[in-house]
Amino acid sequence: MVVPAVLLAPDVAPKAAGRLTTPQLYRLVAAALIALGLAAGAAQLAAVRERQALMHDVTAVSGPLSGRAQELYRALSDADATAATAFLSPGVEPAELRKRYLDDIARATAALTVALREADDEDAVRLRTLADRLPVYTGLVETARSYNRLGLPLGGAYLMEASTLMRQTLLPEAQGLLAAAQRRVIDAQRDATGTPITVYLSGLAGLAALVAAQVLLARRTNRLFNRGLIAAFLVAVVALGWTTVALNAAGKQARAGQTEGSSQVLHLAAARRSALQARADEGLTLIARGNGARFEEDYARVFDELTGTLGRVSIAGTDIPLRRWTQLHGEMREHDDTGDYRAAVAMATDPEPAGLSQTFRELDMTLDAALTAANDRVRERARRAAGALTGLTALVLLLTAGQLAAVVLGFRPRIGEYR
Amino acid sequence: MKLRAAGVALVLMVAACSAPDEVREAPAEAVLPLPQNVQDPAEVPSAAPAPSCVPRASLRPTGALPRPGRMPSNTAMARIAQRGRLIVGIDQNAYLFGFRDPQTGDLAGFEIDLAREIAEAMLGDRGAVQFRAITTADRIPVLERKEVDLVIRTMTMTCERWQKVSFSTEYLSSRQRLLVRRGEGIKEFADLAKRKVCATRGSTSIIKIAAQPSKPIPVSTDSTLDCLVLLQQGQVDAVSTIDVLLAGLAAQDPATEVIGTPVSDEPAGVGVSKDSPELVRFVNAVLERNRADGTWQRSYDRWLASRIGPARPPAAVYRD
Repeated sequence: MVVPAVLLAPDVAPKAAGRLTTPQLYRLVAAALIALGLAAGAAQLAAVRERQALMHDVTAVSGPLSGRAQELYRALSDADATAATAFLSPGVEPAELRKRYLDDIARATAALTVALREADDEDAVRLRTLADRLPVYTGLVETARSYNRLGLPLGGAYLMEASTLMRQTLLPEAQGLLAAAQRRVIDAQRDATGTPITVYLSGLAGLAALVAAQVLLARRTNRLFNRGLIAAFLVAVVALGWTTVALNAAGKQARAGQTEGSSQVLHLAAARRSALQARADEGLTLIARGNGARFEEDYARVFDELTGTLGRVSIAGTDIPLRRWTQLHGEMREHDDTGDYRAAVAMATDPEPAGLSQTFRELDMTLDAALTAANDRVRERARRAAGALTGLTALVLLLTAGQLAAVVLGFRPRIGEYR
Repeated sequence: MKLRAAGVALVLMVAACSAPDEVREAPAEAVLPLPQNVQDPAEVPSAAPAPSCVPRASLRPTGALPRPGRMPSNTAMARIAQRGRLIVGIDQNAYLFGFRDPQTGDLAGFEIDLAREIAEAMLGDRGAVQFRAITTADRIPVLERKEVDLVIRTMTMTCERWQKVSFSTEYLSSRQRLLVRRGEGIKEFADLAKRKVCATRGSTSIIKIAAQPSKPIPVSTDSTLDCLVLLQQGQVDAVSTIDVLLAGLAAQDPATEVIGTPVSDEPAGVGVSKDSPELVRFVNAVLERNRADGTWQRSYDRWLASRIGPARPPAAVYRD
């Protein structure tokens, strides 16, 4: 902003507070008003830019980051569950399960590769562990597969080692990535919701100063109103009002994005995590062949978590598969516990629509759809929040310039009277 | 002088602070995976002062076998016949002894054969067996809790165990030896000083490993298969348990071999609850018959002869 020449007059510097000449006083007041106007404009601009950046981060950076972390987690845990089911299938594994497992690994690798490009330090450590160990995991699964095809029990031991690596190392790291990404989304949403205190303070200070200046001028001159100052006041009111309304609208959207979006994502991701782990446990209990008690205990634990989470966020369409799963699992365990191992395996790998595989798939797909919708809501709300701030930067600049011009125009004739 | 030192320190500090643009990557190093529940070094169960007894001596059969389905009343056999099936605790992961054939999903092996023989003698139906896969550590507890009628799971007859359960006569002799990778020059326990030797948790093998004068480091796992995985991955240098189980492991990996002087004598017997001496006598009668009519030999030849060499059925020893 160009500083008006009138303010640069050499005799502006006050010699002592009480002994100012009138033009000096006017110049000082005008300078103060301009400074306050600039401060208010700057505060508004900063608040708008900050919130735009936060929402942009949600739509363009942390949101996609969280999406990829979710994808990575899902791909890895689905690979674990699928490898177990494929291993259990009598004879040669079904081609469909093999493809599903390979697709999971391909998706995990793709998500890893993209994530590695833009990771911060903390994430990079996790990603490196994942990148180091994923090939080891797949190697163990293939070894398990070869031994299994040869008809040797050793295959089961390799598959369990693979699953141990997955559960004790890979999944916790992927979970860490997911939590960090989701924390970043929620932090951005929370920051965008806060009260813009500097905007209020600077705006109100500017308005108060304009009123005070008007009173001062009214006392020193015979004119009751100074048109320039009135105009500046009105412009400042518009700027403050407009910015406040827009920031609040954006804040509301950000809050909605959190309640309807990101906090749902947290619950749903947890539910899907539990479902996938329970499914893998089911298979591993059978693969362990008598050493599987701890997998069955783990199944009971994660299944409780699953029903608990789904009790907190009610998702339409999860009740029926959840009930059927509980029932089928009970029957399957009954078979295994009474020694009918083959019947238990047949139930666990049954590909029919009412079987365990499809029941799990149905639940997983319902959760996945709900998760996609929640992710979409996060993005949509962030987009709308950014939309509420569109054009505000230009408007704030324009109004601030107008306000300053009005102050200068209001004071110039008054200072001119003393020439 | 002080000033120069300060100057040098300053230069060093600046040098230390101005990190290069690229973060120096630590050289990547593979981390080997582990099976679940590996203990390294293993907790060694205290070898309780063994009560003295003749571990092989069991109870003599009373006369000839009753006809299948016609068990004397008020006996464990009658109760089993009433139920219609014999419940046997077995191993599903011991290759050649009790394992699932992945192609068919069926249980097969030397010990599975024995369980079916007993079921046939008792119930007239080889298929009337309910197999329950149990862990090494569960063998005695499931008998004490009466969850199974018999345990046929390479269970070594020891005087200590005789205090808690009863055993049939010996159905297989074995000795604790070593499984190692071929061509590494390990021939005996003496070559394993300060090296890792694997066995299952809670087994007598762990105690034996720890007691060797060469002081190997015992490592324990949930199953002997996990030990073979560790051996293949180079995370242990040997697996030590009874030779018949080692033969089952060696059969799955031709790059390993069973070696070493036996460090124990471990007769395997069928585990039976202490409260059912009549069941012990019945099982012994079945074993007597199997030794005599060649059933034992046929099963041994089918599963084990080619892996651990020819053998004759172990002679029965009785305490009464």
